Amino acid sequence: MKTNRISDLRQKIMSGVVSSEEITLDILSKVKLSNLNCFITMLDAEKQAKQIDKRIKEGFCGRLAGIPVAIKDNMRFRGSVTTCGSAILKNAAVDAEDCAVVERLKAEGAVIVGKTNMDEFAMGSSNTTSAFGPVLNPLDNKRVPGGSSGGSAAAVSAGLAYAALGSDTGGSIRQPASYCGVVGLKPTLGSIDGSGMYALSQDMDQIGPLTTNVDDCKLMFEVLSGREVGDCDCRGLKIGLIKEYESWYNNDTYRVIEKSKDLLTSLGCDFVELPAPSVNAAFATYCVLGNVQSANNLRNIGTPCERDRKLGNEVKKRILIGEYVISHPEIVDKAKRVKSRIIRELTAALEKCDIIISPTAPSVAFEFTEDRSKREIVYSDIFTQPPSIAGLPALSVPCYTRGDGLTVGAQLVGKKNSEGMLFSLGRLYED
Amino acid sequence: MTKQEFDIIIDKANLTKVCENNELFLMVNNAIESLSVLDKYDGDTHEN
Repeated sequence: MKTNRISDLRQKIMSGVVSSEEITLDILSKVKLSNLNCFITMLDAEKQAKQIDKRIKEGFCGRLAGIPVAIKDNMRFRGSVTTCGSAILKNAAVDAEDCAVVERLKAEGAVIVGKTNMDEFAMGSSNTTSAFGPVLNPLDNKRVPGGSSGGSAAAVSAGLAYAALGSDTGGSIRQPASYCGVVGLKPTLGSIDGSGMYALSQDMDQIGPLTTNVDDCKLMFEVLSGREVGDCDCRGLKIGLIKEYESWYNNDTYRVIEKSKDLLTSLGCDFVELPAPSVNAAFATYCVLGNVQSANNLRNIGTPCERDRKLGNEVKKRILIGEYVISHPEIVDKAKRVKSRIIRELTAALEKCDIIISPTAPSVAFEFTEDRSKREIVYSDIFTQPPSIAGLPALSVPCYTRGDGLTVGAQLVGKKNSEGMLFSLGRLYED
Repeated sequence: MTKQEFDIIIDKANLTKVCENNELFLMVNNAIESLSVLDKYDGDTHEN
């Protein structure tokens, strides 16, 4: 993918080669021509860009000065409605305040062009549960973009924003990044302030960036977290491969392992196979603990009749699973014990290696018409859920591109707060 | 899960009987049955 790095673009804006208004109008015209359905709400981007251009002339030099970005529509933006992709919030009151990450983007001069489409209440992995219609994958319009941050991933992939924010509870940034051929980071749990975002499951929700390249992802992470991250020497690192993932590899996804080995052994990295049997129970653990919080979070939105009419079946299903397990506390306790075990096993694995590598998803993006009961579709988050449960940082970088242009990402998982190492390693996949 | 249990959680979820359709019942029931995998990984003493 031809990329236009944010730092290069910002330099052009700061030096007056091009204005933020010109860049923003170019983006808006592309959005208008696009058939991908990436956005639910467009914001006053032209007005924002004019204001930033004026401030730049007065000496403002924010790290995202004049750069058009997008946010997922579960994040509050003052003066707009936050729909979470649901009909039940379509006519909700406009937000009185910005969420914390929007405040950070504004403070650095970003132009927020719009709020992206998403699976309803972030419940889904294909962006087909949105009340505002599905998002099409820019790599192949017959295929899903992944989800739940499908609008953000597709927008970045199609050049409709230079970066976009997503939220990731079990893979909702990384899996669409893999499907759409872009970079996506789920940072260490708690490293970015999520206040002002609609919660799906607050014990696992994490806001993060989607970008076209690793350097932009690092810049966005630094802006959002308020933390500078250093580079890392990747020579001689020990790379872990989780043994239990092997049964999920196919011709496409195994290429991620092959490419990683080719790339990293030449730098003196060693590969080691590590056991983590409990990752096989990550899906069920996520299903119990995530849905308990989802049921609690959504219990009071709308009247029963409104909920019947306006909530989609996927949301109802997850709420009902949550209510069922709440009334069976022994299941919740069991899931908490398995969660502890998953954390113990991944922690032990990361004591024996520096980074765990896997494919991000068990397949390329699937077609809208494909049978949804296929194993790799039901379990499309199989590699992304374990690090979410353990609160670990995980970066998806484009790794393998098939002859038809469809992509599989490599997921790089590190110890808590090891984002610097993930970025350094991720850059190697771009060379 | 019985249909009776399903009715109870529908009430708890602030939904009404209108949404008590068979498709949803099957979706929820299948998901709940799949949770049995947790037994296999619950505790260090179990064989995996």
